[in-house]
Amino acid sequence: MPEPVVSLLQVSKRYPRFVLDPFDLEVGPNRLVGLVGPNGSGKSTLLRILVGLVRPDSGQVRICGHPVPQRQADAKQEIGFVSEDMRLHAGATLRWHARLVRSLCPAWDENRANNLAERLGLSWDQRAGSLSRGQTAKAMLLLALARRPRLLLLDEATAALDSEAREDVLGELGRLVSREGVTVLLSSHHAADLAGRADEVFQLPEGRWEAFAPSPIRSAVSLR
Amino acid sequence: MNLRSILVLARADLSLNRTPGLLYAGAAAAGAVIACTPTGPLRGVGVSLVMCVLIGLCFHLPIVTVFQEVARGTRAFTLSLPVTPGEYAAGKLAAGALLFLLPAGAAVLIALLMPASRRLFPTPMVLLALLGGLIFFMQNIGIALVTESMGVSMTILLGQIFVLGNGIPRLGPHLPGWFRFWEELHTGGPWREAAFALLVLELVLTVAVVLHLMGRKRSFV
Repeated sequence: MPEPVVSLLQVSKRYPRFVLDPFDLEVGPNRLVGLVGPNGSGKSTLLRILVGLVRPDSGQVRICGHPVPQRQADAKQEIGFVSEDMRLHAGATLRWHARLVRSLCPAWDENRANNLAERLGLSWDQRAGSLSRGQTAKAMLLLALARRPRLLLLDEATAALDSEAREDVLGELGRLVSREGVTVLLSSHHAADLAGRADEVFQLPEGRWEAFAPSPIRSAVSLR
Repeated sequence: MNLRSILVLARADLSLNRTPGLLYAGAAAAGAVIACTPTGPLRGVGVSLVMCVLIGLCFHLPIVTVFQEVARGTRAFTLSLPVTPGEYAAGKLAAGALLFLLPAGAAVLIALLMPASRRLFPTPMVLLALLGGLIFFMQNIGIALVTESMGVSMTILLGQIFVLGNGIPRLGPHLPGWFRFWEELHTGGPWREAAFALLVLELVLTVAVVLHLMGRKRSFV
């Protein structure tokens, strides 16, 4: 069995008004996994734990074999992260941001970046502050995808997109999974976004996890 | 700690803040020129301008480079890249130090280029003040990074300004040995060397404590 891309063992997180109970999770390569649930159910917390923005109270986190947060810089070489709460520097252009990401990510693919910019209708010289919400989401997706990540974490990243762009992005995610073996964890308020696309969907009602499967579950994903 | 990542992050911060950095440097340089005029009340005005610029920088940069980044979500973007919180903090401290040294260094350089007769303070005193100012500035950036609280940071900053600006000048002369210490800072001697050594130690400790506390933080959202 291939090494899991995401491996969580007895991970928990407690906030004053919210508790993510200890849980285990393994996600193998080449999967599109959905996380659905209401606001405050723990979707964002889970994704932030994976990218090292939040440290769990207990448990072990591994991304592509790298323990997080101990080897988080190595782990983050494999991760593309896009969140609705994340913003680009308003005064800087998309080109400036691309240069920053390229400087830190050796896997940056200039051809893919240019292709994506053209397909998503983004100009390299446009300042981030002048981008609409949808364009900002597209720009962040571009910056994440051009890094050629093995794991793509999308936290409500398609929420700001119009329906056409959303379909385009979700279609692109499906292609990334099937052609390039990328693993995608996608959180959304709307289960409909994931229907027919996700290999598995996890529902998170108030910090307690339940798995349901809109499409056949393969053994690479398990929730214990 | 990856030195290359720290340099990339510091360069990004410098690039984002190049315009205010250059404006502060220009204002500080103008203050230094005025402070070195041959005679008259303008000299005090020049010193005051340099001090105002540096104090303004102490408020401006933590707000722009730390608090705004947290509030706007750009820190989450940076920390989603392959860097650790320690490298992120080290990049901020390095960029902050350069953004402080740009105006402060410009003022010091102009003062040093003037004939000795026009200078208000001897060169070692100016360098001591530069080092002290750098530590003061780095501590404020560090407090902002660690606490993420504008209230706490501004309270500590104002407290420091009050103590350094009022407490020491008013209470210092009442302390035993104060005049000898002050004289040695001007003319040279063991107290001046000790002051330099203590300030360097404080700078190293400040950076070490900030990096240690950043490594212990549990959330960056």
